[in-house]
Amino acid sequence: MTAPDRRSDVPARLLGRPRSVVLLFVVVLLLIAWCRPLGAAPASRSDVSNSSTRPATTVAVTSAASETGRSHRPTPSHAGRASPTSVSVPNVTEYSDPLFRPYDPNRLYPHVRYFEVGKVDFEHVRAPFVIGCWILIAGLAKMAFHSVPQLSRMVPESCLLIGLGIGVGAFLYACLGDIEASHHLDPDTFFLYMLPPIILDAGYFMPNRLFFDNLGTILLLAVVGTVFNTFAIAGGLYVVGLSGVYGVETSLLDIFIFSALISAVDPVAVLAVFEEIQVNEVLYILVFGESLLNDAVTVGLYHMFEEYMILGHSAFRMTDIGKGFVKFASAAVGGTFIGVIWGFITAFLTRFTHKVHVMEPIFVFTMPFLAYLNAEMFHLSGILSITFCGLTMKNYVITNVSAKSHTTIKYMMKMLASCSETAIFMLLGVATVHNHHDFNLVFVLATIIFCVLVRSIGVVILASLANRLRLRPIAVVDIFVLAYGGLRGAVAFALVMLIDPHYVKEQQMFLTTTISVVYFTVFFQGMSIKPLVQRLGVERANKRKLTMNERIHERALDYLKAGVETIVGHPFSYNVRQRFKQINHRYLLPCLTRSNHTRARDPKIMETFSKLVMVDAMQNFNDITNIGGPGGQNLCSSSTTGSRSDSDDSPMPKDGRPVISPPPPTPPPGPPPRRFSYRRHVTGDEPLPNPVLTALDQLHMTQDMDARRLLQANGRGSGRRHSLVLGRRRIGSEPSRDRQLTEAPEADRRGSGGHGLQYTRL
Amino acid sequence: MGNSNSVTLQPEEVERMQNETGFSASQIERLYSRFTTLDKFGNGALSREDLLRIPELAINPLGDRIVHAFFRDAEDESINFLQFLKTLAIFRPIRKGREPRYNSREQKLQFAFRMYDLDGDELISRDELLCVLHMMVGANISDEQLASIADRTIREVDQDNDDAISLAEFSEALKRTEVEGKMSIRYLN
Repeated sequence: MTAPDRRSDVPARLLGRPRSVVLLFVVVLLLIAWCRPLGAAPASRSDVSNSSTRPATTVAVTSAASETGRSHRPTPSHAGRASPTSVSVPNVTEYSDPLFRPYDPNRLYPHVRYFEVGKVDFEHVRAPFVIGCWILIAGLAKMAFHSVPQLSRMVPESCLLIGLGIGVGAFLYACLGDIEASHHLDPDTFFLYMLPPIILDAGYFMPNRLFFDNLGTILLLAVVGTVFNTFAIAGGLYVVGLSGVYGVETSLLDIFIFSALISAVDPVAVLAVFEEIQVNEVLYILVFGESLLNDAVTVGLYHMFEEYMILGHSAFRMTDIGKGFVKFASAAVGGTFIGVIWGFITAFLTRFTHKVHVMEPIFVFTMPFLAYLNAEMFHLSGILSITFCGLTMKNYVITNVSAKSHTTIKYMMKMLASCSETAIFMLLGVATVHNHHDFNLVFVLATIIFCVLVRSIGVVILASLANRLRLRPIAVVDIFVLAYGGLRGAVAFALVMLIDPHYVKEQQMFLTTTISVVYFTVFFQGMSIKPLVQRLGVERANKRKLTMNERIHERALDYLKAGVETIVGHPFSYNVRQRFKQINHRYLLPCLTRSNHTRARDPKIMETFSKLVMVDAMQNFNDITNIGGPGGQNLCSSSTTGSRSDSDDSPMPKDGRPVISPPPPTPPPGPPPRRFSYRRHVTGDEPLPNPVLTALDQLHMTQDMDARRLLQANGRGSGRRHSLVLGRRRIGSEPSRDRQLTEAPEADRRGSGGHGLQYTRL
Repeated sequence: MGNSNSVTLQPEEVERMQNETGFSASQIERLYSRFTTLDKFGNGALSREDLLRIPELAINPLGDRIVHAFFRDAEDESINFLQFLKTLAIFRPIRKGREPRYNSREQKLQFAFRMYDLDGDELISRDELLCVLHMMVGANISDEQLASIADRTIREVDQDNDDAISLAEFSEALKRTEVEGKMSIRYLN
């Protein structure tokens, strides 16, 4: 069908060209610059800060956001409320430009005697407008990158985004003058709003089995590795500092605080980089799992050292070390516990949402967010909480919600996560452009060297230790990638900004060093990891599609192993999984999922079967409509990777099209099949390739034409014809009513003898 | 319980078993104590009921089949300690650098194959596959669907078109699977 394509082609071609995107981009930038706070409220930041801030320059998302609660109309008394250390505020009523002066109800406008037809009241919308502009820039940036394939192949996206951020930062610096870094990337906003979506996305789509199989190694790397890193880096930096090469005095405690936050591998950066290089699943889950789980350790250590810092050096006692360890053990366990509880509550809630399908995604998003906040409230590990919440609730939620809600949830999660990640990297770049850097070259070099060295040593030792105990040893090149992939990112940056400069005098130096380390890892390591992975021959992600045999036999082997372990009398074994499945099947599933779903013992077998049946059906369809050689191949291969059964449409159209014979026994439309491994930017809803669509369209067309010819032959009026065509169209497609989105497949599910399936696996 | 049984292992027996199965002496001791625990009547041999009496095995969906595979080479429905060890030796993890004599991939696959093959004809027929599927998938799937799953499974790998899966075809089907990890038990190392 070329006609619709041509029409839709123009905007595509327009936006596909980098030039036009850049143009759009510049327009948006100008927009932001235009939102100069011409009558702005002063920077009434409540925290004490050393650097002077020019009060009239607050374009930043965050401080704008922090003002949303307050009135935007600056009153003269506002100046009095400013904190004593900030520069005095110019009187806002001195601006002479009537167009841009904000409306002040207390003032009289003597010169304005006429009714103002138009007003420009930017202050009213400033905060959301600026936030919207930043998000827009983030989206445009992503679009621009992907339209230049050479660039996106060589350079990972995170680097480009940081680079872009630096560009924007430079632009804003030129327009608005110097702004403090925390104006752009406020740590609170980062931790409360920007980090949770990414972690939720990661936790929800985590491949459970893989994670728990490798949990031992992951814990070893995360806990022991991070603690080792912290102490080793701190020790190294302190020892080097004793020789005085830094030029500044750094106490041991300050170094400890710094090394606590710099030694943690960052989940955002790891996700961003590893998503693009697609290593094998075990390596991926190790790096990724480690970056998630070390948050507990980081939180614990950071808070512990911070307490000491506040209490003063003299308050340090030996028992405090013990207390510190207890603290971060409790941070980990407590965070996990909170997450699991919230996960179960969410699963339970979704059991009752079958009357309000539209609201289902709300639960799935809000409750993990609340879990995160809940954990943060108690100073436990919020990341662990939200991860385990997502992990726990996924299985039950998938069976409870309708297919459309599930698609919504998937897309929304990925969208939020992508958006958040883009914004984080960009703001990281923007926040580096300011005057207050304290760049201590020796310190920076020492930090980088120690980070790399300590990480390598730590990983090598721990991985070799783990290899003794693992059934499937980690390959040596994988260990190398594990060590090399220890990227630092925005979490470290946010943590270093939280350090109070009153207690730690060298906070600015630490900040600059952290930025340098983050840049080094993201740029140097991030860019070089892809060619390294290829050169070293690291095993790549095995995009295998499971065959029926593999699925069945692997399951049988699982049972076999569990059985033999029972015979041998192995105390702590595979049976944990079997036991959990038992408990799950008997107690949890009936409680947390709707009762009209019958529970098959092993839904994965059915899932593979239905997928393969669909492949067969597509093959049959292909043969019948003779699409031709290469197109036909496309059809079958892509239909398995793009699991189309995610949507509500049944695999075969239900209207009067020729039935493909012989129809295979249609598998019960169960919950949407899940991916084999975690991919950030892939949701599994990729549309079928064009050959199928054109074939279907052709079928549509020919049938409509037949119908029309038939009707014309009978001499009916146009009204009747329309209704016939419309009628046929509507039978095959979803009901177009807005509210009632999902009832049809539910009915099907119930109708076909209640063969809906559930997942009993963790 | 445990070692209170009358027959203890003689050192030369232990050494013989070491040679034949590759276990170390301490492992043999450990497994012997397990053997005697399972052997309720103390007659130095295990019967099927002895194994099936283990509660977790009883609830294992493939419990019957596992026991059947254990007893495959047994005459008169009982296995002695040496046979027990030999079967368990198959589940030892494969160590790099050492040539696997008793726990190679082929032997592991052969044991798994025996789980399916009830009548011992070295072929998994459609009915045998259906039986195992029924055990694994549960009672809520209709028979006709199970039948089509079984048909499809056989069709996927059946190269000689005998409507059954031979050991070679079975190995071929699992060539991408990491059998060594799935069929190794750390405890037996």
